[in-house]
Amino acid sequence: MKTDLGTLAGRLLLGSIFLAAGVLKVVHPADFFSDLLAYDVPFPEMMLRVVAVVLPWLEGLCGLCLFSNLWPESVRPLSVCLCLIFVGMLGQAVGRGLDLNCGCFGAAASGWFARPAVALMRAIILLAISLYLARSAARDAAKTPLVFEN
Amino acid sequence: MKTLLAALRAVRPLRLLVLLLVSIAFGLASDWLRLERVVFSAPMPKFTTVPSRR
Repeated sequence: MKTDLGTLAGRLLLGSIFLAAGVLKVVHPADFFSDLLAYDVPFPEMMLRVVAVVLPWLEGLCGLCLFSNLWPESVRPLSVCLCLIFVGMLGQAVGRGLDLNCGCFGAAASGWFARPAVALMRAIILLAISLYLARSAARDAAKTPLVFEN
Repeated sequence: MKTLLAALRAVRPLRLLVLLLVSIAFGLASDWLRLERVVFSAPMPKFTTVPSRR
């Protein structure tokens, strides 16, 4: 089977970024929770607490699957959904002019790199890559002949 | 757009569920084992009774 270089590069790039972001947030979930509170979204605090604990693991797993090309037909659309959520959260923060630390890479990112506008640009680029990957996964699925499983 | 809809249709819900459940399990377990908990409230401090001095 011919390997598409663009897909491979996108997979490795998105996978490594997701993995790094997940691992860096898993280490300090309390910091990530305080970053989430700064977004000032109208969700219950308990929900944000669960998100602060679960999202880093989901991101890390998603990154691992992208990196190893495991379950591409399910993981690539999931990465699109995650990127859409990131773009939405950062977009509302930029729109409201909130001055906060984006929290994308936990406590490891600070200064201009963690500014909401910069993080929004990053999230849009990641969304574009994930959309490209999801499209290529759908194209691969269409090419694959039907196999009936027992 | 058509390809993206096809990508959504190709998703296997069971695999997504596995990913979600594994992250929930790992997330909550790691929070439980941590000193600085986020979801679970911190364990109550151990109270000991001390006899009063006379």
